[in-house]
Amino acid sequence: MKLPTTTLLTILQQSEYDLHKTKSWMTEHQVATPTLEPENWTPKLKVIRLLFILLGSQWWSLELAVRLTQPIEWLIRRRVYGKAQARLLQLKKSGAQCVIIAGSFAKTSTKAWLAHLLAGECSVAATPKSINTMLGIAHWILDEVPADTKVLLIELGEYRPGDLKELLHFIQPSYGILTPIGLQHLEMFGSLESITHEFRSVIEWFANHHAISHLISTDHNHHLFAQHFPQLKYFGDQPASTWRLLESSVTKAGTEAEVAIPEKQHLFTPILGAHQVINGLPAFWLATELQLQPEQIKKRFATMPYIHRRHEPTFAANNVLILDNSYNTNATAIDSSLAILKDLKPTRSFVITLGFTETGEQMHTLHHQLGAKLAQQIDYLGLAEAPWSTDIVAGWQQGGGNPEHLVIAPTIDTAFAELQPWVIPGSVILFEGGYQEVYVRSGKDTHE
Amino acid sequence: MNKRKLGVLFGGVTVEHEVSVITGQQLMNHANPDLYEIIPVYVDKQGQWWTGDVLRDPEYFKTANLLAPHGLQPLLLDPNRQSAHPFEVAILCFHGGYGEAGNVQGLLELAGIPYQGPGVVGSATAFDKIITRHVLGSAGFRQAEYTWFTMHEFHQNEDQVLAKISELGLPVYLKPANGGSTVGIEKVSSEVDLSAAIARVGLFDQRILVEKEITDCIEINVSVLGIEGDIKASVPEQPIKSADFLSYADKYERGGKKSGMASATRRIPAPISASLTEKVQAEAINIFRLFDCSGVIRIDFFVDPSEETIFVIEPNTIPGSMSFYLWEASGISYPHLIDRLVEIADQKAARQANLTTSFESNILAKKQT
Repeated sequence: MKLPTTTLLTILQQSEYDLHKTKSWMTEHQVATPTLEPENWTPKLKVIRLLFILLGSQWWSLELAVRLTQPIEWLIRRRVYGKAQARLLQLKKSGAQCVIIAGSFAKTSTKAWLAHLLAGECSVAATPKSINTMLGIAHWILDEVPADTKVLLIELGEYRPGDLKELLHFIQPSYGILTPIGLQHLEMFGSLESITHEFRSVIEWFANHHAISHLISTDHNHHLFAQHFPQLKYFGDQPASTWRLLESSVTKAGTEAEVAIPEKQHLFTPILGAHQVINGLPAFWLATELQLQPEQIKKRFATMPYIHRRHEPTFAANNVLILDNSYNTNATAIDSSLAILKDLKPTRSFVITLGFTETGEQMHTLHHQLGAKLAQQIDYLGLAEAPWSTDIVAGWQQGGGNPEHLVIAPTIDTAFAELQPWVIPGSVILFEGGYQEVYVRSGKDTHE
Repeated sequence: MNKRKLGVLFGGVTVEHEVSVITGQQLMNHANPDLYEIIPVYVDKQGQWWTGDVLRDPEYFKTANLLAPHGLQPLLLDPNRQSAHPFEVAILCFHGGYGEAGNVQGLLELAGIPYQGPGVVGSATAFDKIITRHVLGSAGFRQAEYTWFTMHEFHQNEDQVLAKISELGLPVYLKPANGGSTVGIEKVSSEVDLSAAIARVGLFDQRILVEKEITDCIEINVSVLGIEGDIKASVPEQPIKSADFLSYADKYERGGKKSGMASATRRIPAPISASLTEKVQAEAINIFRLFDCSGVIRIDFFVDPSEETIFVIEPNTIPGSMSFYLWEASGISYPHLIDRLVEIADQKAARQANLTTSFESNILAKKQT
């Protein structure tokens, strides 16, 4: 096995200990083998590493190591879940409301918005970073949620069919927010239909337990649910939405927006992008539901802190703006990024990207489209090498992109370094996606 | 075309000496060589005035003894208006009490040499933080709650001074009335630390300003350029604390060649709404006029982005780097900013020259009789 041990274990952790997915990744990366470092060396990962090495560091050793940890993990999980549910019940008795946030993307941003906007009016606790599995949520409930919390914002992750139903059963939420549902998890679910089916279970859960009025969805999902759930309410920028972004303009200072919440109001936020204002709109709906002051929520838009790796700006020397949207990207989210770039009117626009991950069978088509789209809207493109790089390059060429304005390099960093001579005052440089998979190089733990 | 002899004055007996050298160097490097013959005027740390072409070379200052520099020619500026002066027009790049508080401005007024301003009164008034507070308060500007005392008062009656500060409410900032930048400023959060902090701040000035901390605000700076009748405010900036910034620079310099990209310490434009931007700019222009300013100044504010309230911190009559970065972001390049400053200096001098400074009188004749 040529992959470094840490890289193998990183991929195993990122694929939620899915051996099939880990093997697929290995097959794809036999030639280019970057050394990756796990974000968090959890006890489980450490045990697997130990067993893997003791058992001879072969593929079958990894399979066995993962299987050996499963029964112990199952017992630990049962115990943690039970205790977390008891704590949750206690919090609810003290008046706490659980609000779940589910969707293919924009969950963490929406959570960050709600946490900030509601915090001026009541005590809010939100699951940290992108923790969204049952075990992560259970630990958070047990260890981190203060006793006087009035609103718990809980992000739900879906890694296998049935995950959301299980999480809803565990949390028993009072309110729910659906963020955009899209092609983010194609590799896990196989088709958009399967993905939609998974999220439909959220609506059904609310319909069965409370009322659909306790759930709100982005209008991005309107076409998926309008027919079967006509009473579902929406937020977004389409006419179907009750809480709606009407107009917006982005400058380096932030985003000015006209919104209907439901009455017409003007908002300002330092956060860049119309899509980000939309992420904050469910706060007005929640304010009504929880009898909070919408006026105070509106004011807190102006103090919203930048969200880590979501169009997070760095105001560099010579009026150069670096936008870090490296957390994640997908075929829909790239449009929001390009809209920001367009509004900012840079002297030169740069995009540095790896492309999309988890695109399944649509990998070639989506990346070809990405290349063409970028060719029409930006000046320079830096690509970190990936199996789909040739598709992006083909799209770039077909879209009329200047071949001399395109570089392909082993990593995001080296791609940027190669483009840097073209950066002039007033340029905007967007780092789009790719963070989860390729960045941290640690080096020498190569295992033959 | 005859080039104007432009005196660029920098240095001085001040804790901000080095910052002033940087401002002076930047300005000389950006002045249009087709329009100006630059005459560098350097005041060393002992107050000796010097000139010489070598002063235009930033490398010189890396090794020079700033208390007794070598290889320079002494420069004398004669206050006699009829004398031949080494330069026709001046831009003052001083920071700190030596050259920003009205002294050098007074000398140039006496010598009849145009300079960008503000004049003696505006410079002196705006430089003293306690007087600035009184002037701003009397004009109705919102500012931090404050009190002040002298070190003499403190030594005579410490309890009374401490009680006055406690009444204001902690935390407070202790500021030397005539200090520059952030030198000598201390934040005090606990009463037990107060006396020792006052003793330290008292090393910088005899008069101490005490300001109550303003919360839920961000700092915003706006530059104002012009002269009465033609005054403009720049886009606002938000200065970024170095600690915040370094963490990001660290993150972004992994790639090696990115140094220089992430070296900014400010957000331009500041992350505030268009309506709040307009309010801050209008307030900045009003303060510029209140202190009888001309040239380019920078005014520091605290703003509450939620409530859109504005608190004035202070005007800086000769801002670091002449705030050129704010003017670049507002569409005026540094060379053009320098041209404008020279223009303002000439306008200011012309306006003064038009004032009546003598009139027919027989008082002396009457006294003699």
